[in-house]
Amino acid sequence: MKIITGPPVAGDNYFFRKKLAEEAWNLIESGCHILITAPRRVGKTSFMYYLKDHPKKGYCFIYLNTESVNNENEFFRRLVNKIVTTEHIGNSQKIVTFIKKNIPSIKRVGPDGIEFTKPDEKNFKEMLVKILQSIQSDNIKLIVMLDEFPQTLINIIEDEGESQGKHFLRSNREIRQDIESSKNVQFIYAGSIGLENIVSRLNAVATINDLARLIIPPLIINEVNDFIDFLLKNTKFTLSHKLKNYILKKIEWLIPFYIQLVISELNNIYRDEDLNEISVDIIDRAFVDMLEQRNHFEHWHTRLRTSFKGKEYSFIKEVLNTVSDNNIIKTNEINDLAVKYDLVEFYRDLLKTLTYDGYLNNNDNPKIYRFNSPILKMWWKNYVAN
Amino acid sequence: MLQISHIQVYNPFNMTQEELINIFVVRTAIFKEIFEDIKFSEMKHPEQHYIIQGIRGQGKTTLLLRIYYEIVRDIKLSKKLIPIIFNEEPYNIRKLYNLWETTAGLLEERNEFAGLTGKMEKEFNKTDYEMRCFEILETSLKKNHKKLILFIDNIGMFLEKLDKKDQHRLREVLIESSELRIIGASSSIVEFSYDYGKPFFEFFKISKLKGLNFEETKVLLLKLGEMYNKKKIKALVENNPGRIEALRRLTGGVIRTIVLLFEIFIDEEIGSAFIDLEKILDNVTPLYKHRMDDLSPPQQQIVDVIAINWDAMSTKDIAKKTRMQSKVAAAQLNQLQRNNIIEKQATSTKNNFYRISERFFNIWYLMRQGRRKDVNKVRFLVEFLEIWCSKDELQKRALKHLDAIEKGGIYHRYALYFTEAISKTDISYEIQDKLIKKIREYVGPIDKGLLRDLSPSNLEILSNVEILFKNKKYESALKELQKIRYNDTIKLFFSGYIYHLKGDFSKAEEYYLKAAESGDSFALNNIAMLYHYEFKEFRKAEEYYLKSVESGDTDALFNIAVLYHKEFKDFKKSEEYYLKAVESGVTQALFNIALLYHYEFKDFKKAEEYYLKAVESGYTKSLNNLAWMFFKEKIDKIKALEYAEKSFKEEKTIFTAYTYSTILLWNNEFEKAYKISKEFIENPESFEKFPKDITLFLMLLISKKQYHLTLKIFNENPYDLMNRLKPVYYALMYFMQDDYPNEYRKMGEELKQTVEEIIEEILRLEKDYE
Repeated sequence: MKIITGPPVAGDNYFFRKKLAEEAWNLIESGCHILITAPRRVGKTSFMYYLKDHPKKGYCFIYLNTESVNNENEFFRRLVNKIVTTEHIGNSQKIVTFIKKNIPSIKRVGPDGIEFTKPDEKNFKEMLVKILQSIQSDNIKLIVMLDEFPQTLINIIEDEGESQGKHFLRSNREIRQDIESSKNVQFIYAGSIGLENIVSRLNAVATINDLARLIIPPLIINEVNDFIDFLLKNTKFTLSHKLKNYILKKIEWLIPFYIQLVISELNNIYRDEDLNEISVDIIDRAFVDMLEQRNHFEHWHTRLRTSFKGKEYSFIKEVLNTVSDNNIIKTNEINDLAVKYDLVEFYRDLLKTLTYDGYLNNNDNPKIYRFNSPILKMWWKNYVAN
Repeated sequence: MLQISHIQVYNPFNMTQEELINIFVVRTAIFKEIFEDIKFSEMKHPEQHYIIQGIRGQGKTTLLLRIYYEIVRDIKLSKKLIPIIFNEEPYNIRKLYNLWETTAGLLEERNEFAGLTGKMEKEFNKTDYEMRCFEILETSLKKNHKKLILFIDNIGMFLEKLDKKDQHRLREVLIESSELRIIGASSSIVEFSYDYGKPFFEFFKISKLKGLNFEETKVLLLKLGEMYNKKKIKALVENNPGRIEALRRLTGGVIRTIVLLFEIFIDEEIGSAFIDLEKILDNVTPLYKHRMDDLSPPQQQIVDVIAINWDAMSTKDIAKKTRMQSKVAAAQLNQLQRNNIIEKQATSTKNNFYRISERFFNIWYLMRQGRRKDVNKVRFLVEFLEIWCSKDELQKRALKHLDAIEKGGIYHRYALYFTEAISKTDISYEIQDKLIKKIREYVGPIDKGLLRDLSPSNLEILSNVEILFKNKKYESALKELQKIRYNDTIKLFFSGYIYHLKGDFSKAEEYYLKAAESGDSFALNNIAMLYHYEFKEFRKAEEYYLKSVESGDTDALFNIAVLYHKEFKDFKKSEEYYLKAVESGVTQALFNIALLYHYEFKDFKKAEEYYLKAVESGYTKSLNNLAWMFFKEKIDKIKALEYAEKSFKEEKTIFTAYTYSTILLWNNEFEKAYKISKEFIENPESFEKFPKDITLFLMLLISKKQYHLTLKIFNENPYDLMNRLKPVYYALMYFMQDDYPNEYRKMGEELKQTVEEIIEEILRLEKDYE
């Protein structure tokens, strides 16, 4: 078991979250298409990896990340390729025969992908539908997990315009409808950007209202203690109950990532300074060092900077600056800022984005927003606000 | 033992595997950690990628290579892993597909991967070329059951160039692929401008290489000692923890800087380590210039001031030197600190100090950008020498350097800069002077311009100082004196002395006291003189003279004798100290003790003895006093004349002329006396200095019945002698009533008594000086 702070965690390194897995399987087994909603670094992808590696009998999971894709056809092409090269599908003689029969332009399906009789086959969406329908003929359930789907949508909107974005959403909806009869294929959409917010701005909520939501919550206290013990298996030091609590109190928003990051920083200090034990001072230093890991925090700012322009960005920045300075911001203050930036009609959407994306919450009191994570607050205050 | 040449330390790629492994003695913990991660990773799923980050010279490339070699050496591991190292700066890798192409090219060296690039080429016109390349690579890895570890030095340079699509693609690859793993290294100094918000960065674990800690520094130095066969290093490392720690702080614990300084120090004869330093400086110049260019003008100004200063500075000083408001400077400092350009050194007060965080950047700045006057380009070397050597060792090293220059063959720039550095340390003035004069002879014919970077020697500075203060240019003298780096007793004493001359006595006192604290007996004497002559605090003067005497200052013996003589009138004590001064060879004391015997003890024998001794020791003025004593005390007119004549011949002044002509009168040599007397009687200065004595001379002339000669003098004198010395004139008229019967009567009533007294005196003189 290793402490991983970069790519999604998988295999033995994954910390199993029983309750979450149960919830997910409930939705899958009820035949829903699912939208996983969770801010960045909460562990969505790791969880999808877990599903992929631990399928229940009769299920096959496909994971595809399409964050670099910026047009619809490419999206479906990638999906087709992924599906047909998947071991389970590619090896099913039944499916391959079905595909060849129904899509004459396909010459060969192999581990390298599809070979066509004529180059540059155009309509991959149609092909995808046919392939998915073929699954019907097999007694396997296919779960297609599409990671960073909202990013793909944004790419399309940026490069080809809003109408293409809407078209993309409609196409996906159509596919889900076309294969409804099969009951053998389900989609899981995931992404760290709030899909619902983008869709609502496009006035296209209808295109996703068939999706069931799976929320990935932060760890609860029991899980957290187990999780720390799980991580400590890979370190040379131990932590007393008191020190663990001290860390948790500082983190507050108990997503696995922050806990991994702190333990990893502690490990660095322990290694570099040849220490014998960890103390409160060392933990404090680990938090400071952690904030200096620019690669883990700067995206919190960058994505706001790239997703929002002009007065929207200024509004968001001022809201977050205020919260980072005063710990809270009240709805009346937010309203006042909305007037300042002439955003009275739209600011609620912006606020929702901030909530969905994991910046702020108003869980304790609907009229008061605070940072989800004191760590993020500290970082924002030190590196953005001032 | 493996002996490696120094240049390789700076380019680890030039070392053989064995050499690199041999020198790899620090950074072992992080090496082990990353290697073990690689070793025990199954790579079934995407694994942790790394970027090893640190400022230049921290050993990033060496660490990359060390991990690379360890994989190569591990037979079991190298069966499933293929480590590939990109040993050039990745200039040609601008797109993600370049990375896959280059990787494929390197893989093709293995038979099982033959034809990879050919396959890729076929796909070149496809819109998703990059993806196809990657798929080709991935498929062929899977087919061969191999996993790839890419070691990419300067990875930041590559990542920075990726366009938006490639950025997202790289993230996809990192999320999905378990076929490859990236271990990169990146220099943090160029990175402050990087956008870490890019989506792939969070997939890397950034391992920061910090400066070496104390133990690691020790290990490194021991290794260097072993490599260069310097046995002393071991003892030094073991017995001088303070020096190791100081060296660590000086270099920021940066490996390359430590090695460089060490090598420059031990390279006593040729200077090739210094050539390497200059090469490295040239190599980093574009990078560092770029770094400066990236800063805003006020930030550039701040960095310049701090870099030139070398030592950490307070915000207040920085603001003052950059002429910024403190608030503005503080805000800029904050930004610079965030960008890792400068670092804060906390103090016990609220006022923090700031210095350039990368010490090597500072070295570069001094050596390459420090064009201003008075910038010490080798400040870092001075500090190193001071840390590394005791005073005694510095002296020895300086002599060795002198020796190397005399032998010739030493790289001239090194010879010069090392001279400059060691001359700034606490070596003796004489050796320093010799070294500087020698280096001028050596470097002058090769590169005259280079001599501009050489400071004058302390002795040269002092001689300039002397010229300046002698010309009463005190401020300039003080400024010049500042060029001496050490506030040693000499510098303090001279500061005191210049203030003393300038009339700023309290400042003079301050500096003398400082100099005295470090045991300067001259200073003690001079403080005493301040109290004696300027503040008139005689007791204090006595106290400091005595201290000075105790510490062996002979001038103080004399001065205290003067104090007893003139101020306390304690003639016994005065005599005691004059005699001691005489014994210690202070010739001035001979004359003063003669005066003491003459005037205070009236012991004319002894007085004569000492006056003569004073003459012998070259103080010929004393003859005049001796002659005068003989006259005044009427001891011996022949001898008196002998002394007076000698005195006059030695030195013609109004004083000697007066004494001589007066004694000539005593000996009845009137013509000669008259002739010599012109020397003083026709000099207006005499009327200021000794008007009464002119009277005496004229009275004596009258007593010798030389009335007409006296009248002649009255008449001839251009300074209205008649009016100035009316009583003497009337006394003369009294004696000349036969010739001028009316003249005497013209005398006013008010002069009568005075004239009568003079007449009486003339009659007495007639008897005394027959």
